[in-house]
Amino acid sequence: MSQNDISNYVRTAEDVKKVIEHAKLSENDLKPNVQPIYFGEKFENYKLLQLDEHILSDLKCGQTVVFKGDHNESAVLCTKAKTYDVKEAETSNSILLLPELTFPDEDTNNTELTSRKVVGIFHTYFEVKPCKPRLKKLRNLLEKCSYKGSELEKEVLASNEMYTFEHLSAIIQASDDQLKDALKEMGAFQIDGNWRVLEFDYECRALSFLLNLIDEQSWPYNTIPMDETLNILGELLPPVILQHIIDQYSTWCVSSNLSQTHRSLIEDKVCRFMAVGLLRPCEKFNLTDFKTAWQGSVPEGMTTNLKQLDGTVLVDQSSHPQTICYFNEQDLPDDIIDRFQYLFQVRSKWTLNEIQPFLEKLSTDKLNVNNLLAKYTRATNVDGVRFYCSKHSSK
Amino acid sequence: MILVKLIEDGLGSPPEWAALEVQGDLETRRHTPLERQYVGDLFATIRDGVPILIIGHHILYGKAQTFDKPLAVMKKKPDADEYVVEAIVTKKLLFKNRPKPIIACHSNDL
Repeated sequence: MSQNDISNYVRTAEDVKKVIEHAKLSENDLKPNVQPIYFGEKFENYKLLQLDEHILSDLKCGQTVVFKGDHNESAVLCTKAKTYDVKEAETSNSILLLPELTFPDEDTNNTELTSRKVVGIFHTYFEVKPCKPRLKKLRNLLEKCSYKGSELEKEVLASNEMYTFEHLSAIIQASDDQLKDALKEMGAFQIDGNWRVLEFDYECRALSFLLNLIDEQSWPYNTIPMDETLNILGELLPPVILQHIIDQYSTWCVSSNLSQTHRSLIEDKVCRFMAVGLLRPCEKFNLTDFKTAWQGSVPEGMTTNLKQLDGTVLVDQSSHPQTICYFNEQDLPDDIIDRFQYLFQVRSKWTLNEIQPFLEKLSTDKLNVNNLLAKYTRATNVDGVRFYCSKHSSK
Repeated sequence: MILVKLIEDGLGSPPEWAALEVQGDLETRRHTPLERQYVGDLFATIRDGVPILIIGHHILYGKAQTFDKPLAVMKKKPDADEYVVEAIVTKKLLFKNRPKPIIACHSNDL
């Protein structure tokens, strides 16, 4: 029909009758509300974004969701709680958008022609998939401007950028909730509104002030009088640092008569920190010697246990003598394939117990550690012990 | 960082738009711009509510579907790193089969 090429052409009831006849349809079989479709005057530059229930309900509550990522990062979409991978998906079909359209299951008494307008044609849309937050950059940024002591603070402030929460939220590919959790987990805290971490050596020094005081006063590690502690250490550490060390490594005592005056050191945290302090400077440590030195380094009454070091160390039981070395989960690649490759470079075969602490953070509801191992590794049995090795038998 | 916000139209919930999905591309016979052009007629059968689309000499039978994941229709704000979601699309009419040609009656009647 040559009429198809004429703009401003308007369908009439006659036209529609004719087309029904041509198509050998019967008017009696069709609903009376026929909808002639036209393209709109102008196609707006719309983009389509796939939503799941969670994103949709956030938007409906008036929350803002955010695309994050700079030029060398692949984009993510963040709600307040979750992070999604964003990819542009293509379809070979054409998706036409119509602000108004009556669906076959909708009742209408309309017997007139109802013109409908297409406001855009699409062959792509943004696809979203839940993913883990990408936090490596956060650690790098905060470590660059770590707090090294009041005497060095001027220098650090002058030569580094500082980060408020808003600033971090804009540049880190994580939701605000995930970012808060990550800051908490890495022991970050605020100085004048900027998020900071303590430099490792400085933290060693600050914590040892506290441990030495407890030792000197012969206080049980689980009953430390706060007033005295703050008074004495207040002369050695800036208030904000002292408070941070106390928050990080102790909790208020549980028993009601002490619950506002005395605090208790967190055993696992203190033990782990002391172990890292021993292991970080050296490549390897004889396991037996390490255990002795470690137990000797923690406050009286605490019990060290290798379980406290899950995700922080590697124990080599096959070497003679057995050795232990510092190996932090946080330093491993975030990408699952890269991480396995790295792990199998370090060690060609792992038991479940050995590898588990280095995979837990990458597991999801759908893919737990066992699923990850099944998907990305090959399992073998050696003398009844199950080992996991690389799928690709590179040397 | 690019913000995505729902349009503030005072309605609370965003308008629902519809999608119509067809195989391949739509083009005019002389490749003139599509804007303002008439596309075709959309019918529905009384019996099973089957949507029927007639475009030119082609007839397409489709079905109504709900998107597993709805689509947000967003437009970039000029001069701002912000998209405004103007509508949500949860339902579509899908015409996934190849269009059938309509053959003029007289040639068929022979």
